[in-house]
Amino acid sequence: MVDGELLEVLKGCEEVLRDRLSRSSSAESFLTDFKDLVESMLSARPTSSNSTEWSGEYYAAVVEELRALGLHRLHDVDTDFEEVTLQIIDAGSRRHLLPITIPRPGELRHLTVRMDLPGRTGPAKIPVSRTGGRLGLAEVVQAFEKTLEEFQPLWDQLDDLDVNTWIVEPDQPRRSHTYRRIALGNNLYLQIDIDPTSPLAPPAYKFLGADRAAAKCRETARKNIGAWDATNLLRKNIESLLEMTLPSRPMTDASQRSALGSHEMEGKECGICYSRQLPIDLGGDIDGEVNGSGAVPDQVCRNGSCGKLFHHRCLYEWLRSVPATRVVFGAWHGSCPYCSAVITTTKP
Amino acid sequence: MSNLSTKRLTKELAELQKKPPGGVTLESADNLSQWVVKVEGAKDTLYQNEVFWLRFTFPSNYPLESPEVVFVRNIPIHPHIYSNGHICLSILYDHWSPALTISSVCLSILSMLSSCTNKERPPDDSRYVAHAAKSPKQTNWAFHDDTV
Ligand SMILES: [Zn+2]
Ligand SMILES: [Zn+2]
Repeated sequence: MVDGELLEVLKGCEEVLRDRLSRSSSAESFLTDFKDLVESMLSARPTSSNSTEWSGEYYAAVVEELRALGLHRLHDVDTDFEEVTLQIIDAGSRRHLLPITIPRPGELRHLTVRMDLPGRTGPAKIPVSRTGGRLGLAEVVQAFEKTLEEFQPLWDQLDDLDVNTWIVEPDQPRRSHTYRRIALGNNLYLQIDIDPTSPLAPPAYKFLGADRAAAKCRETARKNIGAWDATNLLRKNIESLLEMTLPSRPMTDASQRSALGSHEMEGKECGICYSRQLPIDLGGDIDGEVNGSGAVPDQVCRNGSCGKLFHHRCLYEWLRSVPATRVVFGAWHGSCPYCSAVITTTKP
Repeated sequence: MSNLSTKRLTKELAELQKKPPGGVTLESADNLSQWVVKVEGAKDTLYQNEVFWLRFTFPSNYPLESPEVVFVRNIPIHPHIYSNGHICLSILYDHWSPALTISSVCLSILSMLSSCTNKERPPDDSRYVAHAAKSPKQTNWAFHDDTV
């Protein structure tokens, strides 16, 4: 729970703090509030206790370090100020969350960082320099960004598989997952485990499903494995290996739905409510503040291979309902419901 | 029920009747808030020749909120399905997205059945069933990363 000394400083302010956190429109305003609160509490107390004064300075310095890092990188701060979560966008526009445990004052020996990366088990303890009471967050971020670079080729291949094929396991892939179980149709599954250092090389693989069909696939794969072309997409190589096109996840892509023939199903409708024109009564339905009647979908996913359209209000309501969405300077940052790429909107 | 979900559910209903995915049949949809869908265990899997029923209950703000999906009548024996019909599948809870549809949810559940290699109840079945709320959406699910 709350660190002893900080708790001492903030005694009686827990309610205020919780209230501020829940009402803050952005990380920026919460941090400012938090710093002001610590400072006002410190100045209100008799300055006899040196250690308390020092811990107040310590937390103020932590806040300064976060500010220097850039607030777009701040994803979350817990109420007790025990953990901050940073968000880092990599070269492939993928968002990574980096939870960092803030050491208590006077215990600044290492930072505990949880990194969702292949081959990583458990949190990493990074020794920090004690000079000036700095945590060295910038250095941690820099090192993390460098590691992210190494995995770009791996994630490019995995993302391509996740978007274009039907992955049944892991249920919800994380960045550390290097295996995938791919549905081939007819109750047959291919499980691959990719070497993160050479994602374009043939992965370890096995077939699961009905015996005869699996045996036939094994045979085909054995025959074609020699023709593996490590300059080509992993997905394309798997398709050549099996002499088939990998089926995509059913009913979630626009082309399949448009094949249903409805004139509004041609990709111009909103990906959330399936309408072109937002219903007239909806403006008064939510918040009662803005009348969105007659609006057409004008929010578009920037991921070129997705490009889904949404009504401003539908996208806003969706992002607002997802706990992972962050608000920074009035902009709502979350992920596209279809492809998970970063998507941003404002309050309509 | 808001206009938002009415329009979308009407379209999904039409889609499900006109072009249901293999092994999936709409059994009843007396109104736009509760449907029963029949799913058939696929050939060459552990559930071949078995028939199950999924009950979908739609919240008024569907698809912003996920439907409640449970097995009724006949509950498949599966490591992620509890004997009260509750299903441990992240897309039904934390990882719901409006990109999912009733059809795709049915297919995901069918594929969960199809890739099963060991027909057994979850290890914590009796403990879970004794304490679970009526709706699985009230459960704090911890999802299995591991293969079935
Ligand atoms: Zn819409
Ligand atoms: Zn998208």
